[in-house]
Amino acid sequence: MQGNTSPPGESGLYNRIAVLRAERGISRQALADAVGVNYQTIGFLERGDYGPSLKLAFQITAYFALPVEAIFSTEPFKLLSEQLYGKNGAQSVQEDGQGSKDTR
Amino acid sequence: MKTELNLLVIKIDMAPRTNRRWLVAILYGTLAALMTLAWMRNRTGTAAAFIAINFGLAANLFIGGQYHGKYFLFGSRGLVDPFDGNEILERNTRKKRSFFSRLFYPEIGDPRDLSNDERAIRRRDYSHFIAFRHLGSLVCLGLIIDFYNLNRDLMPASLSSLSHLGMSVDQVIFCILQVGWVFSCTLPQAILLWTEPDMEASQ
Repeated sequence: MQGNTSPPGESGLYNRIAVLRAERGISRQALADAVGVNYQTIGFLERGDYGPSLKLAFQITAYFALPVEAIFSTEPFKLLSEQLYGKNGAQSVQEDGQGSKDTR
Repeated sequence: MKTELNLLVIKIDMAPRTNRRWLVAILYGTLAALMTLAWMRNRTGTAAAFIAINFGLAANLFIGGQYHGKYFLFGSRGLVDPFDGNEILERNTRKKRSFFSRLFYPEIGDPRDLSNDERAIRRRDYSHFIAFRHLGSLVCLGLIIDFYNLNRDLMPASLSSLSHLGMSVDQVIFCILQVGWVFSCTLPQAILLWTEPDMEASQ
């Protein structure tokens, strides 16, 4: 999964709903109830099979208290490690991960 | 759309698209077999019409799309949520309801069984659009056949008798009307069941 995002699927839109949900321990049903949709719709959004309306997108961003560009994008999101540590930092994180695998 | 077909005590997992496609194939296959048999046994088409009318209504038990109140057949409901679910919910929240409103929009059960979110509405509209086109083709076919039936002098010799079908023109038109009725009751739901991707089971 590139940059911890859902692939664009049919919607052509990348999003981070699955990551944010997992990070905050929220079930699909809880999120669906909060924004007034079916839990299946959250699943379709996460898989990128459905592009939300502006209203739903803003409801989701309000629920997570994040700006809309933090959750939805037409371009793939950068890796979170790359955003936090820069490109070299992300590479070293990946190499560390590879190194720890090799030493096993 | 529900992920489980609940038929009284029998519950069938319908989250995988393959299962839903099987359901559609079995329903239309059964209808085709029954109607063929009916037309072979009864040339007036009365039996086939009886089957078509009742099949169109009974199929709702499996595929849904209509709402008959929470007590209908012990609460049996089809897979597709009622197409007019939001309108039913809105009507049921009114304080004063007319006799006809109570008759046609009976008491609701779980509001979540009725409410259509934005994606459901978008999919509903799409399925009706596709169904409408197919129904339009059927009507067009009926029109063409009936046109030649009423203007027999214009009819090509090969079409003057539909003997290869073993049916008269009137019978063919009656058959098309029967299929049209069933499609008008079931095709949008069938398109939804056929096209919706695999879903997650309920949580």
